[in-house]
Amino acid sequence: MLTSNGPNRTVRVLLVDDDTELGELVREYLAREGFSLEIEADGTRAVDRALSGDYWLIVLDVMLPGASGFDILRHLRAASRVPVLMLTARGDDVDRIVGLELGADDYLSKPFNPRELVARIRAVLRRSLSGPAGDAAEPAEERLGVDDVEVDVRRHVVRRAGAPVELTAVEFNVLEILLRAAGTVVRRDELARGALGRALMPFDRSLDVHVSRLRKKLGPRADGGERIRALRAVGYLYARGDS
Amino acid sequence: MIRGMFLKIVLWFWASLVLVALALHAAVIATSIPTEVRVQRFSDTALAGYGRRAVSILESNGVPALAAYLQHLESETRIRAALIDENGRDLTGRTVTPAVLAAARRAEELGYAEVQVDGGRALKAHRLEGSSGRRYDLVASTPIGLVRLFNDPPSAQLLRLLAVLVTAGAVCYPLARYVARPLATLRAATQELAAGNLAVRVTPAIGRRRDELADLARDFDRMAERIDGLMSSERRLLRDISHELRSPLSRLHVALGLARQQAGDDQHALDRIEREAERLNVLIGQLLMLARLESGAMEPAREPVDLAAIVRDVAEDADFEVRSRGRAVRVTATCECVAMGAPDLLRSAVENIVRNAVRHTREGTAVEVAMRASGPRQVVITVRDHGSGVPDDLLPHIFRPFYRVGDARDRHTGGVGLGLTIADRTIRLHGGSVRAANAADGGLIVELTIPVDGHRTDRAPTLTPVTSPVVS
Repeated sequence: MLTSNGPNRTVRVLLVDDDTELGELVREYLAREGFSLEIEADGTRAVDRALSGDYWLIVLDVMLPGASGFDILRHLRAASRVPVLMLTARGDDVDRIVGLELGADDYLSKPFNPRELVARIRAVLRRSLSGPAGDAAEPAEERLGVDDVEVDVRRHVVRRAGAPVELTAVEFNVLEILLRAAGTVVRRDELARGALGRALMPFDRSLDVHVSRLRKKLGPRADGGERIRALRAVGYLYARGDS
Repeated sequence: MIRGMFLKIVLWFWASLVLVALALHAAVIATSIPTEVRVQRFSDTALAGYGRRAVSILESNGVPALAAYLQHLESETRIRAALIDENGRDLTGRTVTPAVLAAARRAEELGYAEVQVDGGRALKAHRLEGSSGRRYDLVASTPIGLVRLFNDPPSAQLLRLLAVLVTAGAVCYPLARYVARPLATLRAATQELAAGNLAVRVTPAIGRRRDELADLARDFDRMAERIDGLMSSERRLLRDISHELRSPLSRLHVALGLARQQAGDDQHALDRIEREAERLNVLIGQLLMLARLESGAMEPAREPVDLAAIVRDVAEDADFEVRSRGRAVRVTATCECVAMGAPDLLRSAVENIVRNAVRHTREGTAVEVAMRASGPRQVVITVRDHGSGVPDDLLPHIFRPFYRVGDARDRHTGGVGLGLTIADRTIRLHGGSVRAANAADGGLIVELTIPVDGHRTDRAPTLTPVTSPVVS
């Protein structure tokens, strides 16, 4: 699915981790999968590099010595929507939720299986990876619209009543999936697979955090109603204005 | 050796006794009739005057008037007087003591009787003659010594009691406070320390005293300091160990991935390596979990947890996994209830117990999971396997970390020995308890008793807009 037609089509990923040996191994692994990985061990430089616009995605270890990964994430999110995958300690739910609240797209617990890492990267980047311009098979333009929300799927642009809404990659995925099924319930596992590229663990709240952030960014409907309704333990539904 | 506190208490008590004595003395003097007055009132001239008046009242107004006069006299002057006739009888009809009669007889003969003591009272007698020519003897007595003090009016007694109480209280209160306050501070600090606040110190609250209590406070602080240091170094050690072990494990996983990319079709050995690496990872995770549970540093989330859903879910997952091995997991009963706690912790506790049962149940048998209410605020989850059970005398030990009932038994079943321990600590953290017993017909029964918020009778509506996820 990944195409690399020329140097500017190579997917560049930045890994922020102080374990450079691990970084080297990941770089080698990802290279075979068609990604170009660069490693940054220093927290302060990591923010500058991540904001440079050279990278499609940042893999961020939150357990960095010194500067907390969360500080980096906060700085990053203040200025950019670049997708961020967090690496957290296994079993540390607080870290996960905090990271997601700060705007990370997804997390992976360390030690991780590199296959898993690739799957997450592809899931988060699924829109971007399918190619913004190249593929003639897909229509050059695809728009989804429900009520005052309008989504340009190809360009990754969301407008509410004409005003642009800044969404992270995963939030965009969630919105796109919900809009395509507007008026019907999307099951939680279905939504997780589509938006995050993975199944949910028991008591995994990451999907709810993304939906909650998305809701906050979109605000209520013009008639005051909730745009996205939660059906406990079942899934989510994007409500049409007339429903 | 006389140390500070001892000396302070001795001095304090000594001072308080002296002060109380002084206060009492002052109160007695203030509330008593002055000596000069008392002496004058009991003088022969005064008594003769009382006697003449008594006789004239008797002769002109009769016995009741006399009794009234004598009563009035006693209340005014504390002098109790009796008028005795020639026959030795009290004219008001009261019975009198032999000493009074003796004094009257003596006065009859001599005209007067000198002072005598009769049971705490001083007696004097005078012979009198009425206008009718009849002769009487007036016998007067006045309280002396302690009797005099207790004979004083109630208001005086009350004042003296108050003088003792107020002085003693005023001196002893600061003493008690001086001793008890640091003790209360220490007690509160000890409780706080026991509850897990290792940063608590008492020296600043004790102030600049130099005695045994101050020493105790300093010793307490040294102890707290040491516990704090030990705990944090232990936590640091565990964190470092886990971090240091996990870094190579992370690299191992990625290296494994690289090897897979290059190995082509034969992934057999790599599968094995991956499985072992994953086992190591699980073990480190469990160790960390256990360390967190036992350090008391973990405050579980308090959110409503649907225990029945957890039981059904865990059983379903486990059943799916063991079907291929000819075993099953069945839920025989559930009840709807809501426990307050951390859903993920409670789930892993139930899961650990069920997985342990699954490992030990014989092929062709099913692990039975039952859940029932055992009281209004308590639910019991029973997990029963059909294996060989555990010798009765070893039952209490199976919740110890890394405990193995029999070397052979567990090694080939692949247990690491931490699942039951973690389950036990988790349930206890939620205020419940875990118990193990052998079934009569073989197999182990593990019982989890969990406090719940009451049993739900109606199910929550399914369509509820969730406003925002709870972040803990």
